[in-house]
Amino acid sequence: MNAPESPAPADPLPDDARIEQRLREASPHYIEDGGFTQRVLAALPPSRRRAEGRRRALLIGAILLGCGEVAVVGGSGVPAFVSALLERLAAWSAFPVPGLGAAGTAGVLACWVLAAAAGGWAWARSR
Amino acid sequence: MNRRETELIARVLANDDRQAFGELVRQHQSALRGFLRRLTGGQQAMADDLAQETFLEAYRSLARFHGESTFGTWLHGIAYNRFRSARRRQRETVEWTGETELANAAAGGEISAPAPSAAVDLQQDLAVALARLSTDEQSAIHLCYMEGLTHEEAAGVMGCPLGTLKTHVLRAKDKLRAVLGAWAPA
Repeated sequence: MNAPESPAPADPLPDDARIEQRLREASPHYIEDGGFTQRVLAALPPSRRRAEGRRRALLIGAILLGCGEVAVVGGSGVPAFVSALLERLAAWSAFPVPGLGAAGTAGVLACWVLAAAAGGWAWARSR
Repeated sequence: MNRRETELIARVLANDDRQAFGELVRQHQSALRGFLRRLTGGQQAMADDLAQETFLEAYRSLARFHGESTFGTWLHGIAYNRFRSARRRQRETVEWTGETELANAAAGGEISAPAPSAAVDLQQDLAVALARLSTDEQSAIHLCYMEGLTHEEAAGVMGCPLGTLKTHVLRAKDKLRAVLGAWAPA
């Protein structure tokens, strides 16, 4: 400790108000950035925009892949695939258990609607 | 919170605008690093690591900031929690190598202007006295007097009731008064 033998009259510590004044005066001086901000920015997680871009690309890729698959499986193109699907649904409708075929058809259609809605939502969100 | 700061926060939230976040970091880095340097007893590297962690957590949690306090106060709260977690992990006390470090810690890293000898001595003694306070007492003093926060804001940063904060401040001032008794006028 450096307490002087005769303290400066301008600093009559330990008076409460003087202590408070001294504490305020001891406020830290401005610390220069010195590259700190750049270090923080470099450590941030990957950009959400970039992640969304990746998600969007994945979604488009999946849609294109699905379309391609439909075209290949459908043989003579999408219309043939759709008509084959409708035939299959019609066959389900004629299922021996009353109502089951219709329920199956309704379920498949509901899944389609839900999938389309989810796709649309994901698309809108990614924009 | 000023309008510019609100705008910057909105830009970060809406567009993940890193330039805006960088501006927020630049605005608050000095105060936050100073606060952490004091808490860590002048260990600048550790304080800067904690400050960086604080800003990263602030970035991740920015959507949860609703402006109940100022952005700076909110940051100090994160920093204080980070410091306490780090201290719990390490479970070690700060080793002091000399009074110069204590003085540096108190002055936030440097004593800039030349001052009369008695004033410098007093500043150093104040630094030593501050270093002898408990972490909570140091934090309370720093937030209330050096950062200029109200008691309510400081209590919010420290996550303690207002009465507890006031107790920390009173005890700290009592200890300072006792340690600095030699400076009392005859």
